Amino acid sequence: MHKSAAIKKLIMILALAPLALIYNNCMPFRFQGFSVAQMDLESTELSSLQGKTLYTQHCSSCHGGFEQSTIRGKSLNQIQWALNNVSAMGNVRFAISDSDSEAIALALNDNGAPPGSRYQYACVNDSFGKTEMQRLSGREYKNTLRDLLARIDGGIISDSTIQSLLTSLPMDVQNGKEMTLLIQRPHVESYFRIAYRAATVIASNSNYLQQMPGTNGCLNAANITSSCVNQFVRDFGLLAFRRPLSSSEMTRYQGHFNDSTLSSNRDKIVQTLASLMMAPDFNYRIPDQGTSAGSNLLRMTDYELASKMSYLLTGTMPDAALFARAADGTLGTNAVLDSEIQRLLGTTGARDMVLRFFREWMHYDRFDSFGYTAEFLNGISTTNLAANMTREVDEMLNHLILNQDASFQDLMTTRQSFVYAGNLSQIYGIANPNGGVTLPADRQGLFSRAAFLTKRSGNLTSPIKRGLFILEDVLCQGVGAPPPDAPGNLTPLPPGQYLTTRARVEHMTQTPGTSCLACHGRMNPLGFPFEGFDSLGRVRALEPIFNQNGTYSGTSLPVTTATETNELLANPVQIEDAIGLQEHLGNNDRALACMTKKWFEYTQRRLAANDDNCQMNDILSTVYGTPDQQGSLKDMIKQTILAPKFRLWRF
Amino acid sequence: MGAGFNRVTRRQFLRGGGAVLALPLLPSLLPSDAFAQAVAPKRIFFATFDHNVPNSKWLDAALAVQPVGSDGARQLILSSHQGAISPTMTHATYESLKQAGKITMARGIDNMIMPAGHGSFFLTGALGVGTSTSPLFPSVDTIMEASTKVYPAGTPSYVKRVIRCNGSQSFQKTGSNVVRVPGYENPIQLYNDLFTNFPGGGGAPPQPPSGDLVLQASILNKVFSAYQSVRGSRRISSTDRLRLEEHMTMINEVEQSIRELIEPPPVAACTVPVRPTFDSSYRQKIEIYLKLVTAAFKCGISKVGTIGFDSHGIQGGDIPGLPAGINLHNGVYHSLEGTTFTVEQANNHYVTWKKFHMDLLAQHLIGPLNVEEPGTGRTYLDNSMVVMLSESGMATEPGLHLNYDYQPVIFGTMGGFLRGDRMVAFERRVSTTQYDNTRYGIPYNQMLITFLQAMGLNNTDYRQDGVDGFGSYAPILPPNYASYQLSEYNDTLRRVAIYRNYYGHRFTNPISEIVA
Repeated sequence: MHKSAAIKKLIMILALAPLALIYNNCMPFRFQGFSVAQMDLESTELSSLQGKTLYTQHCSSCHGGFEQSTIRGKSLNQIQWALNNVSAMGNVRFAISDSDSEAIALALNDNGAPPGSRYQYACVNDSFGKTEMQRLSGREYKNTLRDLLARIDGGIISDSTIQSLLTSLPMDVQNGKEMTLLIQRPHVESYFRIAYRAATVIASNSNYLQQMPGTNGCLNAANITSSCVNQFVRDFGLLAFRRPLSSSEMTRYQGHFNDSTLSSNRDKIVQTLASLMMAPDFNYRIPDQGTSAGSNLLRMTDYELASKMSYLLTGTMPDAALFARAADGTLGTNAVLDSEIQRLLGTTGARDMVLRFFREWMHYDRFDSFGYTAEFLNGISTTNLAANMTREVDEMLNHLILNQDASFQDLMTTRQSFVYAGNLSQIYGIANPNGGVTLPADRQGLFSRAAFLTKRSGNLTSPIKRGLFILEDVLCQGVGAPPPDAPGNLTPLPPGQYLTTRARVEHMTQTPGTSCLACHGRMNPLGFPFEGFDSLGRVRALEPIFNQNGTYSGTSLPVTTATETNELLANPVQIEDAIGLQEHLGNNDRALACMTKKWFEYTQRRLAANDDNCQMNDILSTVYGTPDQQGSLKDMIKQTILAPKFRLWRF
Repeated sequence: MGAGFNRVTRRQFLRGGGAVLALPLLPSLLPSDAFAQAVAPKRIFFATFDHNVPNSKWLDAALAVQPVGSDGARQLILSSHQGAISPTMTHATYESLKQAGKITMARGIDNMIMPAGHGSFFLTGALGVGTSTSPLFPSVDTIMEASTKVYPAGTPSYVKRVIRCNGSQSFQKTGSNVVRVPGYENPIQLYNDLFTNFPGGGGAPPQPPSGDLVLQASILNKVFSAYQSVRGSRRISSTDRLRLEEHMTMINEVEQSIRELIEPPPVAACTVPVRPTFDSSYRQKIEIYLKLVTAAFKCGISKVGTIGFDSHGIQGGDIPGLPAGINLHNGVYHSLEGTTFTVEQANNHYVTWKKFHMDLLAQHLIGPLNVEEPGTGRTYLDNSMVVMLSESGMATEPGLHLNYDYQPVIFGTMGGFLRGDRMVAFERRVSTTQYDNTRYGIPYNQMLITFLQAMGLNNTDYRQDGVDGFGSYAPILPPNYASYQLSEYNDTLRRVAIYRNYYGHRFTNPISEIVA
């Protein structure tokens, strides 16, 4: 259908919609019934519109708004399967016809791109949402304070009271819906105590005062001149706010120094320093000093850009070199910006950033207690095992991403690793661990590392947890929390009866007709490929069956890793084992889009919203790379900063 | 954000754009709630009952129908309810407090650990007496006792930081151990300890203003002003403005806490009670304890008190109406002394026992505290919390102990810290089976955090071993746990899993639905 005709029919629908609403109380109202079918709308555009409306009507209350739907990309097959099997969808099962399902599937897979192109988020009118100011996280606060005080003297931060206060800095709290760093009173108290202590330490030490930036020691004079105060506020303020102070801010903080109620120089310095270190522009990043780029839209200054990229890449305030690029006005050029990104990616702060992103995303640093029996461990010590497993993945990610420009596909197929400890090398079956190593062929891919395989305490594996991780964290497909009455453990085997863990899991959670099937039918198949590894991460072909008391029964059964899943593509995909699954994930659009979304959320410290889709698509295109070469994660990071929208601020 | 925003606007009014008004403020110029600016001492008293009557003897949680908060809780405005809250609370004082909006109740609150030696978790949020081990956490009263936020440096030596009456459920952390802190068994000894060295008349003497405190208050004042400026003049979203206001409210609170140290609020003159006589009767002992706590609170001698009512130690003759010659706990509750009591009979006897104590609390502590506290514009009770804690009592089987769905009752609002005048009921499944693993509410630990924060403490003051929140959240089981039923063990694991799945945000916060 010609586009103008489609638009014409769209107008007709919109025109009829109020009538339909008016008569909503008089006759059954089903959107597809009153107009679309009767109007014989066959074009993709209008069917997609119809599907979107149907989605909003029937699906959005559980799966979220259309643009950010948790089920975008779902095929007709998957939708109809869910309608027939998911108990929570019982209410809509009979309200959605087959043609409705088709329209919804069409809409969920319509991203405006030509057929056959790769998955994209639904980007409307190049939208760009409001950006929230960000409070420094606990790590950023500590790093910033360290680096700020180091500009005076590196020893200040070692003060035992400051260290003690920093240690007890409250943890950051997230509210569950947004990753915005909430402020709580303990934070404010800690900020105050720390700032006050640091200020008094500085003000009470003539050496520190001598080294105050820009003052040439003038703060040690008995009579501190107004010029000295001006230099002090200007230079320390620049560092504390990560940008030059405005004239009104200069006046404010000079006034704090010249407070007539204070009698001693020490108190004047303390008041000025402490108030700068507790100021909103110290504790928050508020990049509103730039020039207008549209309605309620600002283009950040170079100082603000420097600050934003520095916190993202290194978790702290800009260093002297970056400040210099902001000061000389060259940071705005792509060449300098690219060069600075490259430089910062070589710092220890960037290594920390990579680990934090992956840990937050994949939480491979979190373990259940290692509740294995001695017989199961077979001599492998669990001492420091969690730390050793985490270190392995940390070092591997850092090396691959920052040193070797690895792509996501590389992560999914790599055998490179770093093993230092004996207990981990025993699990992997390698000798003489001493750092860099190429692991055996059966351990190919990131998720075949022990840190990802020990998701459950005890001798039994948990295909459920392993599969849930792939489904929720790697593919961004939510399944929600289990019902409160869901059993927490597998039903114990009767004495003398032996079954593999997979068979027990399938029997307990995938029996047709049960409410368990809806979710477990999705997550379990993504965990079964990892049954080639036991719960400690050791490769196995046979699963030893343990009695209820943890002793070996004397029976071992062959494990099965082959599976079929509907979660990777519109059609079912056959998977042979963990290697096959990861190879598929490595170039799977949903996995790559999921990683992009996780990265974007990491950079923003909040969940992605509809208005972010265009930005995420920009990053996603870098991640996809070319048909011959997937983009590297380093490129993903760089492109995030190089993108023009990175330096925009909408308020 | 409503309460916080109001505080900011009040401050804005008083400041006139950032500068402190030097002119004297006429009362008529102040907002109607300006009296709230006066900082009154905070006090808290815990009355703990080791057993209780079942929920059928309390206000029906189903009466709470108005949604509140985001976790499916509902509330009932108590002052709108006709009739007594419980047959154990028929004293006229309680009706008066209910009508005045000074009572807070919560339902659907569960202890994390089963069975936890029944009542021993009241102040620890963890295991306690009744098992062979000491609790794994200190009790809230000992944390308040050690806090400089409750008792600042320079607190006079005659101050009794915690008054523990009639035994003790207090536990103190000493190094890596947690040990029980003994309480008073003799009310005359308590009188001697409270009033022998008390100078009398005016309570705690004010501390001399410290130069550093004045400087600190000045800094906070200026930081507040900087936030005010950013909020008013910068190009930020309305959401960010709200966040700054929230931050400002907290700065204001910190500043107020420092100003309180500089200029402590006046403590009203008090009358030292005459030395009591004690004839060894149970009733008289409890009366003396309660009177002395009341006097100590009014005289500024203490801010924290506890009393334990233990049915193990009650013989029929101690309290009128109970079966003579039979121990209330062993004989009546568990029918271990030859006479079998039905559930209803046992519950009725526990109503008698509990009402006896609730009457005494009303008569000698809660009522006498509900008189105006000079200089604060509120009553002593308004500036305090008197907390009643207990199990939820037997429902279907004789001798049943239930560690979930308690009926905690709080009298007073701690100077507006609590909203007051409501029963908040948290969504939970209903069952009459003791160890039914489908029952769950919100973690009891939140209630203890509410108490701690009401006294001005925060997470950094009470978290243990680097773990945020208070009390035990994990299935930390006593060494002898293997002797308990497997169903209890499974119930504990199930309960913890449920909490973690649904209520992670409730591990570190007070119960927001009852906090102002």
